Amino acid sequence: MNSASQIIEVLLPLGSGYVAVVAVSIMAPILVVVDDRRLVIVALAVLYLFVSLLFTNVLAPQIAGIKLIVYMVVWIIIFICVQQKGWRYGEYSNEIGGLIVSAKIRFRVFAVIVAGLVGWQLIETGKLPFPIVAESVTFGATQLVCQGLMLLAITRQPLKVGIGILIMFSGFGLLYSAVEPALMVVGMLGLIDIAVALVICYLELVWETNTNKEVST
Amino acid sequence: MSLPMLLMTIPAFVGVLLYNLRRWIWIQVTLVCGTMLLLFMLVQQAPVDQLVVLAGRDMYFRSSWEILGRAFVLVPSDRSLLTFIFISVFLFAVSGAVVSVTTLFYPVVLSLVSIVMAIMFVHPFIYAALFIQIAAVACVFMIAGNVYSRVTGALRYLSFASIGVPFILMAGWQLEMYQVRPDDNLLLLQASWMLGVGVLILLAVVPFHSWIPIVARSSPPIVAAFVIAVIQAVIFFFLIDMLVQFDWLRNNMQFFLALRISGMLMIVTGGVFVFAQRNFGGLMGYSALIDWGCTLVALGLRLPNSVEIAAMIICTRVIALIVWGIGAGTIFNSNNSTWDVRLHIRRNPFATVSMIVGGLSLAAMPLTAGFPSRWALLQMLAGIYPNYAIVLLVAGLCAWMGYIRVIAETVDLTGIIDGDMYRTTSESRGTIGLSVFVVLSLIIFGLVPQWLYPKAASMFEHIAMILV
Repeated sequence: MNSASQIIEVLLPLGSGYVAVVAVSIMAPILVVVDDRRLVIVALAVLYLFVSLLFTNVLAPQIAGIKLIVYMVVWIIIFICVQQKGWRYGEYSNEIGGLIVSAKIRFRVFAVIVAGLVGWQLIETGKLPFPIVAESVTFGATQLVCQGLMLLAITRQPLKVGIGILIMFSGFGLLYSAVEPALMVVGMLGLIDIAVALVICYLELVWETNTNKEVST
Repeated sequence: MSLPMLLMTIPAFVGVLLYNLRRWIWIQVTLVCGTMLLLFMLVQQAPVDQLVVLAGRDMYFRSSWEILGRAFVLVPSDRSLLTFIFISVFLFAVSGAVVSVTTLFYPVVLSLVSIVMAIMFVHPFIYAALFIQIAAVACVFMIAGNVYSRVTGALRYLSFASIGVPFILMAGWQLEMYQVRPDDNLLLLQASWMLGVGVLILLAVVPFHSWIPIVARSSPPIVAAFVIAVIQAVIFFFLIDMLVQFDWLRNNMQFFLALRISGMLMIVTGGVFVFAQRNFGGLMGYSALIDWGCTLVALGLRLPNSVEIAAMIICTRVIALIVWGIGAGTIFNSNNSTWDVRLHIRRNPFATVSMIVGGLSLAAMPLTAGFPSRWALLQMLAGIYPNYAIVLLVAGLCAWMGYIRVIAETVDLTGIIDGDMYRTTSESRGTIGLSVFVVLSLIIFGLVPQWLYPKAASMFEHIAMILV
């Protein structure tokens, strides 16, 4: 069985550059805009895969492999949580139905565009306090941080808030690993990712249980 | 044997044990209190870096513990801060047994004690930021329980902690770069900014304060009190540690100006919103915000006396919030509607008095423990920044008015004065005795603050000496 670093080495030529950046730049907005949990879970898996590939630009493949393992654990935790509590939220009037797009979705699309522009401008104006390893990687990282922050700001559901924190951390991790590639730091950040995933699942379960209780009473 | 290792591992192991004993609350309380006493004894009595004979065996307690290339170091100034933490946890553990707490309260509290010590001991300090994030995650487990359905406070607390931590990590990197390029002062400037922003976000400075009133309103009262009093104090200790470590930060007047302005923002925001609150949780949240603002202003004055006042404010806040938590925890045991609250206040007059006196102490009402330190700060501000003093005075008055309004709306004062309420109380003798004891303690500390002041001042005497 291949180790995580070998998986990374196989996938490396496929998309550690612009392909990964494009994938990340598409998946992060999907996570912000969409509420359908099936789509969120798939988008998170794709996002984490390509973020792991982006890490090979700033870390050794073996350490990037650790990141991949951490993201797999995080994804599994979130997947199990969603599977336990159901795949769909109740409010379908807000989702995209045919050609009619709800006000919530329109607002989120607008917010995503604004966050994307802010992330892009951070690189263009050179205001980042980090050294730029590769412009594409930095672009991906700033997009993740900005979209994560946006997700934190505009949602109230524990799962989405948690995903916002995780996206933000993955973007920050990309920037920070370029300046602090120590294994201890990577390990601690990985531990924090897993801890955040666990606590978000706990909150999601408490929130869902109590929401159901309130509805039934 | 390494003393930091011993101090950090004991509560972690006991915490795991407690998780398996979570059905037996009194065993949990006994174990937590016993652990705190043991840690207190170790911190106070254990000779560091000396060979001693203990029970016929040679023992050598090292002051540092190296693991994976990182050091956890116990410095002498940590002893008084650790003493404060152990005593606070001890008191909160006893209080938690009297009122309703979430099932994870005790295991999480003990794990937090371990994490808090890691925050204080670890070198270099960027790792402290990572431990702060882990502490925030652990806190969420006790803030949100099955009984208390609102998870908004926990989510917001976690979100703001997650936003603040990266700034501290970035500051750490800037400092590492400065060691490589000591001529580049821009790096120091950026590090000051990053560190300041990160710590202020973690200290719930406006506009990152919104989790405090939400947690105060919708979480178990004793848990809310613990997070606001103890966990936030640890972040403040981290800031003090930074100031002690880095003379460039200590000599940066703009940094202290930022602390004063942030503190004043908290005071103004607290003063504006506390008046509009319609429940005791909200009142406590915004009163705590004002109180934390005072702490930041006191530190921002950059005077030895003002730092000691900040220490006093932190200590009295813990006492006030414990008293508030005992009262509120007895009354608001999963009661949400206004009618329920009125009914429960009527049935629990002693707990009501405890909650009101604790809240008023937090709002620095005269004759309570919170007043002397607020008065001292007010006098100091009146001499240096009279405008700040006026704002602080008005904010304090707003808090008192807010309490008077909510008391008038929810408490049947005639019943209390006539004594009917006391005769028909449903409270147990234990609750009554504890309520009377804690209220009297709060008043005694208000009347005789000099009993507490030297001990509180000793917490920050290391920074007070170098600020001269």
